[in-house]
Amino acid sequence: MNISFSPDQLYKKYRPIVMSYISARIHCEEDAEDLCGDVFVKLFGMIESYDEKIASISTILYKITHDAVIDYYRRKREYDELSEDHAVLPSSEDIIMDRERADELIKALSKLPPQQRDILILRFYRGWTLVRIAEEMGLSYNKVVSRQNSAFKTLRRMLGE
Amino acid sequence: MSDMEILLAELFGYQLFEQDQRLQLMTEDTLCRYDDYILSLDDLETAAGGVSDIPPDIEGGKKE
Repeated sequence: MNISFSPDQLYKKYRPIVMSYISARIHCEEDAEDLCGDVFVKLFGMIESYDEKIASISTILYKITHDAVIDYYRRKREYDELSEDHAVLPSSEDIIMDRERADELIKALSKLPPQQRDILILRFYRGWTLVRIAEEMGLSYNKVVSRQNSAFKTLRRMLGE
Repeated sequence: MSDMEILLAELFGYQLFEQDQRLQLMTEDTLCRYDDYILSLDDLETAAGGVSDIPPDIEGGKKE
């Protein structure tokens, strides 16, 4: 093992982060807690062979957590026959962020007009609804939707999609 | 959700783990204007020139 933290320290440090990620995607508290536990069981199972030189713990934990959420929805679909509408993540969209992709997106975000960027940050980081964003920004709902859509269009163009 | 919505949601999920400084600054800038945002403990310590007595449970947190 080539790691400078004990499992206890890792759990204390990363549990809030893992829970934030999972809770934003899985709204059943009990399932979110279970999944968080599964993530750390998997992490601790890998820890003996872990080498900090290959990837940071946070990078590995991000990948494990992301995959756990995707698997959760796959299982849900399989057993509960959920329709696409019920799932946060469509099965075909197993998007995982890597440094390069994040870098491109962050650069593109930084070039957006400030108000468009604000709308995206308030919605996707803060988790506000478009209705609340409209209220807080003193704009009509339609204007917020329109600016959000303009932002998406600009981002798609900048990302070459 | 559209592809772009999923991509943005994933970026902010990724940010929880990887903490890109540029995105952090953009986020703080927005939240300072539209939300009652408490600066991170590090920022408060720097501003105060010493150790802050802010309890750890709001470290780096946002006021709900």
